[in-house]
Amino acid sequence: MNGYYVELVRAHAPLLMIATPLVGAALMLVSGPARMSWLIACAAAVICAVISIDFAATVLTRLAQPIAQVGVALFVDGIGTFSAALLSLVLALVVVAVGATLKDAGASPALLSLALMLALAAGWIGALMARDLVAVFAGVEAAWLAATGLTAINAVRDRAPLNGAFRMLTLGGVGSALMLLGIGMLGRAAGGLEIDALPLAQIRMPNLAGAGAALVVLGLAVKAGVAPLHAWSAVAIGRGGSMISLGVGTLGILGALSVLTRFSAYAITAPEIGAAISAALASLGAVSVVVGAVQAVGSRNLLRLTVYAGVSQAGCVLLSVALGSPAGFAAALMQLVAFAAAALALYGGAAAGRVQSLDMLDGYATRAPLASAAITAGALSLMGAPLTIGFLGRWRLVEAGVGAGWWWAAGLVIIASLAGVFYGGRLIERMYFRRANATYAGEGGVWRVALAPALLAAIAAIAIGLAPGVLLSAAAAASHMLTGLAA
Amino acid sequence: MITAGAPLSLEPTLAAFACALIVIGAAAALVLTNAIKRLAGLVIAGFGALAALAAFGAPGGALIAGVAVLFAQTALGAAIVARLQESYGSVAAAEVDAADAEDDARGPAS
Repeated sequence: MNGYYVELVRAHAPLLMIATPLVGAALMLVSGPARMSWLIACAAAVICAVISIDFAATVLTRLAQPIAQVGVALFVDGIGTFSAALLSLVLALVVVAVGATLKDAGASPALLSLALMLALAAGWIGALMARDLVAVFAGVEAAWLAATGLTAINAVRDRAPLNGAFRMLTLGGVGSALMLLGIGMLGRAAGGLEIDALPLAQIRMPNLAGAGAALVVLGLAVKAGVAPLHAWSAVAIGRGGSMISLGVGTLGILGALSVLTRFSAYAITAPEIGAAISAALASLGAVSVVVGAVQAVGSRNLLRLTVYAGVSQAGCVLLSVALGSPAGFAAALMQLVAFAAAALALYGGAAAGRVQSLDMLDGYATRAPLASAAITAGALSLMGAPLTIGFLGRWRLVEAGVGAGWWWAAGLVIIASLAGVFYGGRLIERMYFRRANATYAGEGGVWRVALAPALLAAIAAIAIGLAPGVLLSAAAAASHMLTGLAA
Repeated sequence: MITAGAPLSLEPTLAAFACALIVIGAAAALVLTNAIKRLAGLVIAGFGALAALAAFGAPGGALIAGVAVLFAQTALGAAIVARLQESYGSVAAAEVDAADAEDDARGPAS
């Protein structure tokens, strides 16, 4: 009997992965005190993570998992399944991590923040599982508006996130108009809006289709904070609390990058437009790697430094996808995992002691040794130090790039890593080799448990670097599943 | 001059008009300093995108999704503009950015 229910859940897994966080978000609005709501949000996020990971494990090992189609046109592919599992796992960790700082925002905004965080994840997962481009657009915009709302309502202790929220609205709004135009052009040229049909479609007007796909990529790149379209990210996240840094900086950007990877993987395998999309992604990626690294080097705020390092990492993801090969897609998925681990460790470690400026990191290791360990692991991963997931992701990109004759991409990755040594090393130097100039401002007692996700991410950043077998196989299976369908 | 027998289509004209609306709206949303004018630019760009969808013959679902998103963006934008006015005493981007720079120099809020 239990086996029947398990199979039932598996058959409806994509829908449940979207519905569970949405139900959790709805419950936030009718639940009582903030702590109770937090527990409900944790339960919803953990259930979503369990369903997603089980589904990904089933799909990526069997390569054929029938799903029930109930009204909503969903489509299971390797990149979508892998990314949705990663996103839901990050959602669970983020929701647990924000527990300690719920009171920063006040009771009412805290409830709304948790609801928006769950809705944000549901939107991105929906976009990852959607079959046609209109549903992708709806999921992306739902997630983006939730992220903007999350930023705006958390401008309580500091007003700067409000300015960031308005920038998110304007830049994201322009991005959504471009995306909608691109969808119209692509649909017209390819004769349909199904994303999985794109690689096989008889494209009548390649120029129109290429321009449409490029506009969709551009619209998604704004939301992923890819340079030079990232004017919103540092303003929104740089002076925000843990709700914003973890919710938008980690979950939101990871979701946008995942959807961008999925869409680009389909567009790039369409013969008529593949070369143009590859060129667009490669140039956007190259600019992002360089601009992000330079801005991170010059940053004096830990949150902004993490944002800019993420911009550089996003550039590496785009470069990997631009290769247009299974090896490139697998490298992109590894980079997504590396980004998630580093962002969780850095933002989580900073949130534990409410650290913003780099000055506040001086002597942090003596005040908060565990948080410092998390930040150290995140920094090492960002700089691509050997035996970390960051190294693994970049190594796969270098391998795939050199295999395709893209030596310049390998060079850019090495430059990004060298810049990472500078800004990541600066964090470590401040935490371990300077005298403390401030007292610990984080939560004590039982709420220190909220540091656990940052530590888990830090441990994962090292452990996966040491034993990457399972993740590499999953990424390879995911990338082959997409290209296998497209062939 | 319309030639007899030639297929008559308004699609290219409508598409060009829609693209022009998007460009004008996007430029206004990104360049203007007043937050309310930026929001108006966003609405213009959104209408342009909807017109483009119609010109390219997109299905009705796409138009409905576009309208819903545009409505949500406008409502959220209006709420944020009101909060900007309350917090900064201004909706001019330059003044808001200057106030943020001052806050930055002063250090994090306690």
